[in-house]
Amino acid sequence: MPELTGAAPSSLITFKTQAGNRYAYSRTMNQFLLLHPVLDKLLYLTKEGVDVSNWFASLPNEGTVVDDCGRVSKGQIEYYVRKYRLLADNGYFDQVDQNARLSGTLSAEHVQSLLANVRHVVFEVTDDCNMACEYCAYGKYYSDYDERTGKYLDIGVARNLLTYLLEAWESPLNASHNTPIHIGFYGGEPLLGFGLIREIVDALKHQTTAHNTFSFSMTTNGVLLGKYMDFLVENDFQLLISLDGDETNNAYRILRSGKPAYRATVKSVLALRDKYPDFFIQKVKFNAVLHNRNSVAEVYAFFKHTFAKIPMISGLDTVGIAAGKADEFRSMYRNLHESLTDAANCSSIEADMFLGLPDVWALGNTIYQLSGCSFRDYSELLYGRSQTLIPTGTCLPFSRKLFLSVNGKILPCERVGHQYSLGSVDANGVTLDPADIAENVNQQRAAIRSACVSCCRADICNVCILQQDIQTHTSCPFFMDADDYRGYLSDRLSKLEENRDYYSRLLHQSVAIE
Amino acid sequence: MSGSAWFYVEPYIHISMMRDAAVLYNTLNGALIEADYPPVVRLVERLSSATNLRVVELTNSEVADVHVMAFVQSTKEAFVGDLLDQAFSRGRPIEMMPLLHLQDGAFQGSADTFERSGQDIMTYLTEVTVYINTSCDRCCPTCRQAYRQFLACTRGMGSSHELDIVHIAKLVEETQGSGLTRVNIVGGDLFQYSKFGQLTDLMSKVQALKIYVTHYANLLGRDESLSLLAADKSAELRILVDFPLDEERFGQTVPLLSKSGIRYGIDFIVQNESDLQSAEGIVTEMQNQVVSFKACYNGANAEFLKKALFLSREDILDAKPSLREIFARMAVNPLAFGRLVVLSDGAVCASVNTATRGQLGQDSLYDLVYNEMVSGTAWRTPRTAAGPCQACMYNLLCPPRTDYEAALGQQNLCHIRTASPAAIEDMK
Repeated sequence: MPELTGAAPSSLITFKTQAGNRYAYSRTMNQFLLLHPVLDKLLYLTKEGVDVSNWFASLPNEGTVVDDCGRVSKGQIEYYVRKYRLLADNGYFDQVDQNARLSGTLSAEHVQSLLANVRHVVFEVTDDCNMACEYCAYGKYYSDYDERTGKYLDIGVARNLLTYLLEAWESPLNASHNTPIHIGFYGGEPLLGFGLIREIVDALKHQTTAHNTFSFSMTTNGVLLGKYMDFLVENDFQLLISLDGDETNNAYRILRSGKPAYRATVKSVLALRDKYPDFFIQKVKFNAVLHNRNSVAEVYAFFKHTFAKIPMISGLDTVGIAAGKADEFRSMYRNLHESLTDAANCSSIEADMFLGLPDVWALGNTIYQLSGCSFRDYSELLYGRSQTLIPTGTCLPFSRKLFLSVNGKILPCERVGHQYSLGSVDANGVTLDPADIAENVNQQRAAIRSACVSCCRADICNVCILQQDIQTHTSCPFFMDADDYRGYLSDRLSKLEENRDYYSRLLHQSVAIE
Repeated sequence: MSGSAWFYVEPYIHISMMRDAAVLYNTLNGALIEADYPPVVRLVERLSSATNLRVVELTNSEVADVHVMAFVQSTKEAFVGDLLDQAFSRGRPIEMMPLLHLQDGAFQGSADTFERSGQDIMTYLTEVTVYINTSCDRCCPTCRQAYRQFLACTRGMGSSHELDIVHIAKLVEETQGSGLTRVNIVGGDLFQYSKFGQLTDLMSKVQALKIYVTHYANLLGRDESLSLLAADKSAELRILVDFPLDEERFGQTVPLLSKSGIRYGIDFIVQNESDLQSAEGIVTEMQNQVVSFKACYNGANAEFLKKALFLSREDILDAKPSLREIFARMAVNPLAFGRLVVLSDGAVCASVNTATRGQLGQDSLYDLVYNEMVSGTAWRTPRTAAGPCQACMYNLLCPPRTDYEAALGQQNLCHIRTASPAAIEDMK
């Protein structure tokens, strides 16, 4: 791994798309410019340290040769020199002080505020499961999790966390009003711990709060749905059911008995659909894991035809692979982008799944972050983006979620290794120190900041250093120098040139960018 | 140019279109191109379509039309647009044309907008104006009008009121998670507030700029109160000066303020040219003092107001709003957004000219902010929403509505056009 520190990146990046169109992206103005070759030439000269005015003054009257244009008259070049000056005068080429920009830190007060505004709380009901999927994140391929012992979350521990959070939600630091707080249940298979789920749901249903209501969600393998569906429907759960496609596609999902899980899952899902068709349409989603026994096209077709649904498709988690298992894991892994482009009906799948696919999401992300048209909320619209950032795309603690593990650990989310615990809950209450959390976050970010300062994508980084287990400034595999960033922007705008209708479609979506 | 060309319009250009006309405004240099020639308007429509993304190939008829080509040339000269030889590349380029997008869906009108309206809603509250009392010994001629037009004290319309300090304390507590950056404290004569010491103590704990507003004539003999204000380093005094001026009293006030050490500024209330000249004369003598002039409509000086406030086309273009400012004007009234006013009887509204949204002491601040956000008429009502501005192609270039429009009883303060209701309907 090369040393990732160096000079701050240029604030203006020029690049060509696959079709050969020239663009510049100005970080200062957060805007893409379509470039005439002469203007592109002037920007190139600037990058090379040439003074554009002197260069122009030294031109002969017949002009000069510019790439793609042939000979260009001095009069025509003069026009682009004026345009160049207009852009320069308006700050398009101003250098961003990357050190100052990435100097943000977290304070204990900010952590308290984030905690009082946490909108999604997930309980790991149990680490027990009625299935033994081969690729399970708590299975043989992974090493970054607490040992699974068939444990169930203690209801007293769950209650203690809720008591603590209810106090925070009722405090004046809570800035939201009349919005739901989403309570999620996760496993193992959460329905194995149905008693705890029922207790929490019943408690919160009867809880009076000044600012919030509660909504419920669950990720389940679906096998026990038939038994508990009345309760789930009655409490308006949002369900995410894990299923990888048809019987062949689903081969890695097996019951503890060793039998394939497909039939048991589909039987329960169909029972739910038949008994509660409206609920099924509105509240049930599917997630399929992509691997070497299915493909994007197969998964898409299965869910479309069997359940009239568009599934979410996720790749196998590539972080935390156990020593000695890498080759075996690699043979199971399938790349989502490649699987999609292999499909005969790639375009129609993409148009239908749209933001559910990583390529479209990446394009959307580029437009939301870099077009200058998209704003997080009214505050950003009115007052502009924050001048300082806390480096990396790692969510700030509690900004999106709080996850309580079956062992009582408080984590930022379920995808983060348990070594990144933010606090704990036991029978005596909650142990959580905002000052400690802030200090830990600041230390983590300080360790990588010097790489971020010279990374071209630092402004729009979406890398979770906890999920990726990136601990030092030399270990970020997502670091982008100017050439990398040129390629990145070129890919995105090439895709947009090929799918022009995506632009307005993406700008009519409601999204959550962190 | 060797052959066919792409014609494109730059991403920093704001395009406004009505049925039979188009305006292209360059946010970098303020250049403006207006077009009502139908083929040009159709060309601008084509440029603005979701699939063209501001890049089109000129048709044969467009190329043959001298008026269209003159338009194309004018866009080039104003750095509004340009031509690109198609031979430069193997496919049509794009421009990321300005389409406002709020990631929380609030502007797109998505199904969950209502839910998200309450998300982090208190962070939108940035300014609160608190009228603490109505009592005042003075009887200023503009008392009933000025406060409806700009930040000014008033004795109010009805019976005497004083806002309960307990309610103010509750208000302060509820702003802890808010985006509050400024609190205006106004009377009556605020020095007659019975719990003035408690009030200043309470306000000193608020992490925001505090502006205390008073008439200059109420300052004499208030040394003790002024020292309380001076102790709060994030507090300022805004002194209202009207005419005719009590020169002796005003002359005594300035040394008093200097002695107190409080930061202060002076707002001159001017109703006519004579007032303006008097104010300017005082300003000349008060070098380095922060001053502003507040034109005040008194029901009989419309011509003076027109001269002082109304905007011409040139005024509007000179302001050179940025694209983000234009976006903001599409979605909200940026001057009203985030502001609440608490009257001395506890009534809460977005502005003294809009309907009451609730009552301090009965409704939580959360409810009041939420009600304004979801169903109010001040924060999320842009200039484009109603009146003659709806049909005006400059409507997003024009500054947002202020309280002056309400005071004057008209929705636009400009010399550009006053479209009739029928014309507005026709434009939709």
